[in-house]
Amino acid sequence: MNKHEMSDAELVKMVLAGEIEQFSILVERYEKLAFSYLLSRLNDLQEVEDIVQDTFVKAFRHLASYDCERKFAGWLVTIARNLLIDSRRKASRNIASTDLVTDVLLSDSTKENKNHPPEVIIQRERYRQIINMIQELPEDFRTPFLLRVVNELPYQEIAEILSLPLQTVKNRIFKARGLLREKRENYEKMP
Amino acid sequence: MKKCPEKEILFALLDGELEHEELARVQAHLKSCSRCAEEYKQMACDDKILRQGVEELLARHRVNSKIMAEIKKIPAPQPAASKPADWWQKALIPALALGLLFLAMVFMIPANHRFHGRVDSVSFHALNNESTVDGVTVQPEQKFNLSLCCRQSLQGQFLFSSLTENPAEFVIRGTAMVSFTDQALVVFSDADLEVDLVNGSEVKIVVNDADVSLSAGTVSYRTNPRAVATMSAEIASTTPETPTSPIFEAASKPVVASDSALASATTILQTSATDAEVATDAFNITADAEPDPVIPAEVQTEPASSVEHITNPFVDQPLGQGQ
Repeated sequence: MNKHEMSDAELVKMVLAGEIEQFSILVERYEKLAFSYLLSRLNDLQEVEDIVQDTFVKAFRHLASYDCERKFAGWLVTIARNLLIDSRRKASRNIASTDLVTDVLLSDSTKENKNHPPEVIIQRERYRQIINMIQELPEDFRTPFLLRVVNELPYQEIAEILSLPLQTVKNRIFKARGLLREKRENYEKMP
Repeated sequence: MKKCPEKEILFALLDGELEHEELARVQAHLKSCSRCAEEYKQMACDDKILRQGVEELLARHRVNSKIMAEIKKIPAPQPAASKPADWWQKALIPALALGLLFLAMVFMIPANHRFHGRVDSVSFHALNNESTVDGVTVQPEQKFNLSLCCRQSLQGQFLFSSLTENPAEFVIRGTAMVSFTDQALVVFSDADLEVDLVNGSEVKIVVNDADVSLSAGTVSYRTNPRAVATMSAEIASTTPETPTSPIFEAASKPVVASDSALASATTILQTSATDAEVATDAFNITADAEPDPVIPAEVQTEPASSVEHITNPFVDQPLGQGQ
């Protein structure tokens, strides 16, 4: 069996049996989830990166306590959430400009814009607009929405990962989409 | 579907959460409604841009290699060992085992022994104000329970009540160490005493290592005629008011040393090793000795009938029927 087809529980058992390198498959599988979850909660990309790294390292340290009956994604997000809470307690650097993410993207893209065709530049501008609008959403709406759009997870799985009722997840995603729709309409009306 | 669906339906379509008929109905509507189709297309485009943007960010901030480099520095996780048991969990199994062992032992003991062995199954109290327990003068109203753990030193007159399967009462006069065995036997050691069954059909005791059975119809038992005689004489002189049942009264007479016939009348009822002492040369009394004509006829001929319907002289209510 291809190792990439193995279940999370099987990979965990292999790591616990000493095949540490198999942990990289779990990292590949869930790095985007951890990233988008933290991106929905933080404005500082470096902090997002740091906490993603800490999340996986902590998961590795405590892998023996992982209950294979539980979803690995949910367990991982729980670790990320706890690290995020700790980080917010300790530091004030996450009280950064709400535009930080978009600024990073914009500055990066500005540097690269010279080499990109106009349609790519337009798309990046659209992205900047969208992420700006998302940053204005309430945090509780932002997280399930990003997990849905970026990770393409079904509502039920998002509910399990975030330990929320299915209907709550649905409502939050719908409200996020509704608010984004309104913002886009307003944005388009702007001169 | 002519009417445009609610915006939530379009959201659900976008998220792939519609199923079967509803999915087909909404898709059919989008083909016929350019406004909804445009709205849907715009949202799908926004999703795609957002997804691509985040993936672009992620590509710049991938940490897989950093994570793998980091975890190689730390000890590999080990499969969870079983959680160490709390102290009460450690104690639980031995406690349960001991409990089961105790229950098994209890149920292995014959029922009558369990009954006899009850802590309060045999008690005694003094019959006068001069009797002592462990050297301390006790009052008749003081009740003592025999216990498995301790021997008690008795001197004087005591009524023993045995609340066993065959309730019985007997009186002792004299001195002895009394104890109680786990076989529910009342044991008198270093005894110089006289015993009378005053109520009940039978009681078994041990006196100076000899088994003694006091049955209804027997008159009394004594350890050493000489000593008891002396002691009884003393008791008779000091405690003339000692209450006795008719049997007890009859049985008390032979212990007078001068009354050899009465003494023999009591000794013929005993068969234990101690009985041999009764038939000593000092008294020159044998079990075959001719009864003295002064002995009341009912004592010799119908002792059993005399035992019946005994009223406990020490309590207001009858204790039971002699059988």
